[in-house]
Parts: sequence; C-alpha cells; structure tokens
Amino acid sequence: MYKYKLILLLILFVSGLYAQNSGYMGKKMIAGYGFHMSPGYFGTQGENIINKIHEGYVEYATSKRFVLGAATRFYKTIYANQRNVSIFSIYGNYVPTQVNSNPQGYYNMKGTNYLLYGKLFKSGYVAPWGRYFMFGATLNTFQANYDPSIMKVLVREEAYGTFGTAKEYYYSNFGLTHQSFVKFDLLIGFGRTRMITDRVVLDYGFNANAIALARVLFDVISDLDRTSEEGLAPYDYVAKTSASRVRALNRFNVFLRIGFLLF
Amino acid sequence: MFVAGQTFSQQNLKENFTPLKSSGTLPDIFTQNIRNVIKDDISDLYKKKETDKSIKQTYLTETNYEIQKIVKSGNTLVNDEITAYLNKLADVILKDNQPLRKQLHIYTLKSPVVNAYSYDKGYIFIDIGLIAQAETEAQLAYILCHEITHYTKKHHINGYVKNKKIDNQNYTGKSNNDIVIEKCQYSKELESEADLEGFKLFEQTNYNFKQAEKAFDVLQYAHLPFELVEFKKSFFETEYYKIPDSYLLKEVSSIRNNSNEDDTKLTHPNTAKRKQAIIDLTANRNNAGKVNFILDKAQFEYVRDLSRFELCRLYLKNRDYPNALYAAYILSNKYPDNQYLAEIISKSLYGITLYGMGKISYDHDSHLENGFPEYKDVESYPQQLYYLMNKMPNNEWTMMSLNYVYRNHKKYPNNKVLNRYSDSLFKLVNQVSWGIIDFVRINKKEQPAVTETKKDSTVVNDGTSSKTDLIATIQKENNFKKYDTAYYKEMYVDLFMTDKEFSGKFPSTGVVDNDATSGFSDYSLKKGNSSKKKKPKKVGAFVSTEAKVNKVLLLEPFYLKIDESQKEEFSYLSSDEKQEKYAITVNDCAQRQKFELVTLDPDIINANDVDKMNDYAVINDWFAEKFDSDHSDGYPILNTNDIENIISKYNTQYVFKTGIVNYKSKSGRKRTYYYAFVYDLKLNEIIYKKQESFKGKDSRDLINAKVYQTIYEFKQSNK
Repeated sequence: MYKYKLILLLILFVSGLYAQNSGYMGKKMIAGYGFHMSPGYFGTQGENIINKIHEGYVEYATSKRFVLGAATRFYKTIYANQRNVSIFSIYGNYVPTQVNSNPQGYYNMKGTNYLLYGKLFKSGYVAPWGRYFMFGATLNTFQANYDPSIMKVLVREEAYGTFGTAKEYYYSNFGLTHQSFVKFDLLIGFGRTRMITDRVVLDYGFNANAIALARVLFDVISDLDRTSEEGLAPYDYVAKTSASRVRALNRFNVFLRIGFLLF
Repeated sequence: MFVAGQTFSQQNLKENFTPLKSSGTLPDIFTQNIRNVIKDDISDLYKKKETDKSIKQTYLTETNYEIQKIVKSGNTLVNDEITAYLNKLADVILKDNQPLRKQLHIYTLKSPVVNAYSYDKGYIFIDIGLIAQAETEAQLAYILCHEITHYTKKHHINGYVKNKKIDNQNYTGKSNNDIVIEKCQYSKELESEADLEGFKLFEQTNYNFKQAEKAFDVLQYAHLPFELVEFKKSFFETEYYKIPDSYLLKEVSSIRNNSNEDDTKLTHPNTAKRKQAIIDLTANRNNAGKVNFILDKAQFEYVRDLSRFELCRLYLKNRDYPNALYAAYILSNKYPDNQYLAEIISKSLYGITLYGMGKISYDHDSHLENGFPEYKDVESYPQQLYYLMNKMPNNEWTMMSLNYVYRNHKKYPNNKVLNRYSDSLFKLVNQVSWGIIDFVRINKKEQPAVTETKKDSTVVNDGTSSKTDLIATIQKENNFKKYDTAYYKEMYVDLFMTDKEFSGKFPSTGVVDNDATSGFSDYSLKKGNSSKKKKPKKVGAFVSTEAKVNKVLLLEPFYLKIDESQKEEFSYLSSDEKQEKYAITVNDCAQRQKFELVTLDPDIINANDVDKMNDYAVINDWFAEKFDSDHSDGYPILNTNDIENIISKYNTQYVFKTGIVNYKSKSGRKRTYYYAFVYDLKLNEIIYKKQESFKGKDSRDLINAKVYQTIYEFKQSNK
C-alpha cells in the first residue's frame, strides 16, 4: 500500500511541476462525496425504482484543462429475478420435466466500482472549474448472495402410469450462495463544476458506462421477453442476471457531487 | 504666476515646455463614491416638487456617470495654471454673486476640440482647443458666461427631459428626420437663451461687448489653426539645402465662409445668427471704457500659449501630424529655441514619413480615417504644408526630416527624444533605399559606372575602408565642377565632412533593409537568437515566448452589466459596484500568488493621489495614440515622453487591462465576456491577449478562476 501511495504522490508532484495551470484560486486537489442516480425499472422490486450509487472521489488538476480523478462507488441493490431459469428434471419413474420460469423472490447484491478517469475541460475554463467531458475506465466488482429459502423455483413432476401422483418440490440451487464478479467498462460523461465560497465544489452532470450502454437493447429485451426466452441454466443464473443488473445500474446516471478544495 | 490663491512658477517657454499636469489636492468629484452621489441626488429629487421625476432620475444616474467619466479620464486638469486662470476669470464674472460662484466647478479638458461643456451640477469643462483659439480674455469670459447660463437655467437637464419626451412620443406620421429636427429646434432655443442671458451676465462686467461678437468669429473659424501664418519652406532649409520652388504653393486658397449654413439639423444656431443676436443686443449700449483684459493681458497670453503648446501634444496623440507640425511651426516663430517644439516638429516629421511609407493608418473613429486631407481641401496657409507633403517624394521627405531632426539633436545634445528620433530616421533611410552615395557630388560623364553600381554595396565598399574613407575617396575622385544637380545632393555635406557621428550613422549602401522594423530605434523588437537553442514554450495567452512578466501595472479594471430586458439597458449602479469588487478580486488573486501588481485606478484614489491621476493620464494618452489605428501593433508611440518615467517609477513596463462584460438579452439569455491584455510600453505591443465568452451569468467562480489563471500565467512566464 505504501508503494501505491508513493506512486500517487509522485504523479501529483510531477504533474504539478509541469502544469500550466493554477487550479481554482491556487487549489488543485479535491476530495468529495458524490451521489449518482438513475431510473431502475427492470430487475428491481416495485418500491425500488431509483438506482442509487454513493461515491467517494479525489481529483487533481494536472493542467489548465485536465483533471485526473480516482473514485470508488458503492451501491447495494437486489435482483428481482425477472429472467427465467430452465430446469430439466429426470427423477425415477417421473416424466422428465422442463421448467422454464423465473425464480421466486430476489437476491441481494452489493458492488464497488473503482474508477480512474480524466476530465477534459472545455476551452476557456480552468480546471477544476467549468464544463468538462469525462472519460476513463471502471472496474465494477460486485457480490451477489441469495437465500435458498427465498429464491427458489417450484418444480412439478408427473409420474408415469395411471396411479402415479405428481411430485412438487422447490429448486433452489443456483450455485454458491455468495458469488463475486469483476467487470470492466468504459466511463464517459459530461458535467460542470461550480465553486461555492472558493472552497466547496459543486459538480453535476451525467455519466455512463459505454459498454453497458452499447448492450442496452439486449439487456432490456432479455428482461422483458420471458415467454420466448430459453431460460438460463441455474448455475449461470446469478452470474448473468447480476451482470445485467450491474450494467443497468451503471449504464446512465445523473450525479451531484460535493467536494472540497484541499490544496 | 499667482492665480486664484495658488502660486505657480511660470514655465520658461523660450526654452522648453512641460506638458500640463494636475497638482495639489484632488477635489471631491475625484474621490467620492458615485453610487452614494447618485442615491443622494435621487433622494433630493423626490423631496422636491418636480415633474418628470422618472426621466430625471435616469438623467441623474447617467449624468453623474458621464461627469465621472470625464473627470477620471485623465484628461481633466486640476489645480494647474490654466484651470486656475479660468477660475479666476469666473471670480471676475461672478464677483457680485458669490453663492453662484461657489456652486461652479470649472476644469480644463485636455482636448483639441474647440468647445466647452456645462452640466446641471455646476461642472463646467473648457477644452484646451478653445483656449488656444481665444483672442482675448473677454472672449473667454463671454464663453464662460454662456456656460454659466446653461447651468443656472438648467439647460442640460431640461434638454435631456425634452429629448426623452420626443423619443417617447407617438411616432405616427413622423420620420426620424422630423424627430432630429424637433430635438435640434429645442436645443437651439436653449443655446440662444444661453447666448443672450450669458450676455446679460457678461455686460455686468467691464469687458468689451464687441468681444462677445468676436467670440462667434473664433467659433466660426475653429477648424483653422489658432493663427494663420505663411508656411515658409525656409524653415527646413540650410545653407546646403534649398527646397525647390516647385514644392511651394505660392497662392493659397481663400477661407470659406459658411457662417450662414443651414442649421435645421444642428444643435446650435449658425454663427451668423448668434453673432447677429448679440449685435442687436449691443446696438444701443454704451461700450465706452470697456476693456479686453481685466486680469492681465500677459497672463492671458501666457495661459493661451500653454494651451497652444499642449495642443501640439494633443494633435500628436491623435496622430494628426500635419496639424501638430503646423501648430508647432507657428509657435516656433515666437519661441525659436524651444526644445519641446523641436521635439514636436521632429515627431511630426517622423510620423508623416511613416505615413508616407504606409506604416500608419487610422481607424474608423478617427477624423483622419481617410488619411491626411488633400491640400485642395485645406484652407489658407496650412495648405502650403499639405502641398509640400503632397509634392515632395517620400524619400526626399525622409531626408529633409533627418536633416531637421539631426541638426536639432546637435543643437540640444542632451535631449534624449531628439537623439532617439534622429537615430530612428537613420534607420528609415535604409528603407527608402538611399545611402551615402546618393549625397556625394558625382561627375556623371566621368563616373557613369558609379551611378550604375551604387546599389551594390560590395562594389562601392569592399569592406577595407570605412564609410568616412569612402566619402573622402569619392569626393576626391570628383572634380567638384560637373556634378549632379539634384537639389538635395549637398544637404548633408557639412555633416559628412565635419560630423563623425553623422557619417558614422548614415547608411553607406542604400540597400533596402526590410528588417529595419519601424525604424524606432529604442523600441524596436529584439530579434530572436537564431542559434539552435530550444524554443521556450508559450505560456497561456502570451503572444510571444520572450515576455517575462514579473510585475504589472493594473489599469482601471472594468466591469459592465448590460440588460436589454430592462428600460435602462446599462446597469450603471450595479456595474460600478461590481467594478469596485472586481478590482479587489484582481488584487486578491495577485496577492495569493505573491505576484507584484500595482493598481492605477481613478476609481480607487484619495485626495492626495494626484500623481496617480497624472500617471494614469500619461498611460491613457499612450493607449489613445496606440489605438487610433486599425493595425496598431508595432507602431511607435510618438507622443509620450513621460512613459519612460512611468516605467522607471513603477519598475515595470507592463500594463495590465482586464474587464468583464455581462450581457443579458431581451429573451433572458445571459453571456459573460472576460478579457485580459498586457501591453508592453517599451516594445509598444500587446504581449498577452485573452478574450473569452461564456454562456451564463457572471458568477463569482468564473471571475475568480479566470483572473487567478491569468495572473498564474504571468507568473509562469518567468519560469
């Protein structure tokens, strides 16, 4: 960790040394909190229609028009099991059964995004003040965990013959109950910073994950069209749906950040 | 000189002239907070039983700003000899009306225009141009009486209210022309009243009535120089230099009389009518015992001469070189050994040379937009000067100028200005493709080859002999009997033979030197080193990579708010308040970065800051001259001798001008403009240029960020 701190300090020192920029009233370093939100219609429960992400960030104006930033974003959400799972069962003298249904309940997710980005300020503005275009990379890590007693699929199997009875049971094996994933995406956005009392930085605008944005149609159709969809395999269900949910969450957000000019 | 309770040591005009400056304690109008003044005036207005209060409220705001603008322009003189004299004159006129006298504030305005102005609050401004033209003290006194009447009769505010009412009335069936005529008609009525009521005031004094009439003659011929004197070419001639008669206009045109011009669209009645009104008034009055001078004739003539000397400088400031030259020529008949006049004439000659070479042009606001007038368009004796300028080729003019300037430089060897201009003209000689070879007597028949090869320096001078040796050799080779008869051939002969400085500086080859820049030796740009040194990186909005700005003189930060959706488009009060804050912001940003910045702002001065006002005036003159052209970069500033004192006093040659303009359209769209310029007074050019516009209001963070960054870039230029 010490090594990384040293590298960060070195980057800041070197960029400061060669910068033709003043910062805002001499201050180039900002630390702050950001709140991102977007409408969350799919894959969420009814009452949870707004996606919310919290963020901590640091930024440093390296030149007159450029700010280098690093941020960590946190969120908690659920996936309301919108997509179907496909379960094929062959058991004793029961008729092989194909179940294609969405699981009951939901599963919990929490994610942490690590972002490294740049803000390119429009000509005439002086970083970190003004209008900017944001671009960078984000590493979206997230964990999903489900409760087998909540997230389950009812399977009904008919027995062969005339006297046999049907058998019903819940299928709830979707792999490990705790699963972790890492996804990469590209960050783009537009925003504007304003300064209040020469110390507080108000930063607002919107940003998006480019890859997630490119996959928007595919994700929406998958979530909406349950009838024609071949269900996901149970062991794939969490991996695929959580990735889709994370993309939805990070796809497009408006944000408001409040930062402080440090030095 | 003792005037109006103040003592001034008279200038010795026989030897020199020091441009007029303010002195002593600055009056309240310079130091008071204009916003408070306006608030008080408006508050007083509403306490009185007045009509048209809304229009008058606008008037009070606009007029107070107008007065402040005039007063703080740097062109208003305070506690100087001329202003003191004018005040003494007012004392004479109003000796029996002290309450009125105390209400008046009379100042001199450094302007070549022949005019005077009176405002509702008792402020009267008299232009230098008017004083220079006056023939007697009585004429000046009558003009003062006219202006005092404008004040007592409240003409300024009444005229404003009337014009606003005309503007606001129903335009149906009226053309713009009708509106202009209606406005002018009312203005003429006020002027006639000021003429007649002013005369009533005038006749209470012991001044000669006839001088009131004569004042209108002065006005009638104000477009002519203050004296009409034959322009003799002998002024530029020497024993060895005689200008051909073909360059002399023997008969000059008569003076046109347009005193009875159509005044329908003029704000004043024509001078014939005005004069006649006074003649009618004085017809049956006894003028016996009335005098032209109550104070002192010598004092009047001294003050008038001061104005005339100053006028030369004001012409130069406007790049009106022919008028400056002619005015200085007139004065030099009376003061032949005055160094200042030699400077003015030298600068004018140099300016006309540059103009002839196409190096000076004028912008659309200048009265010389179309260049110097043709001699046919000029009246009387000045026509001779314009004729000479027209007929004499530019290279000959350059040589004549050098001849005059160099000889004056020798006459006044310690005069830096003359030294500089003579050096500059030497440089210009290179640009007119003449050299020593053109000024030696050559036998054409015997030495044809020399004429043919004179442009080639390698043939004429192989580098083994000096320029003076070369002259001596050529002189020796010629028999002095058959020589070129060009009239200028011998103009420098005495200098070539006896003056080593001259022959040393005079270019030998006559090869056009395109690198000779403007020829202004001290202020020419330093050429960059052509070695393979790594080019320094340009910092921010700096125009050049060479400027190193370590200290600036901040000249009156500017702030203007325009709101088209409001009845009063210009938000004076808000602009003024913002301007004050903006000056603080700029200083704060400099302080935070430990950058040295000295503010020269007439809005932030106290009564003892008269030196700052004078310095501000000098720099403003520099700007006025610089921006009298569409393409001013690199043009030499010929007028300001004091600029070097400013550079050394403030220890910087960089002047920083910055401002914000916030504009709101009728539809409510907002835009904010920011500009920052740094001028190099020494190199005579803009070295830093930033002009940006932003959507939105003039928020604090915008201003802070831009100003801080600008000063940061100044600092970076030193690294």
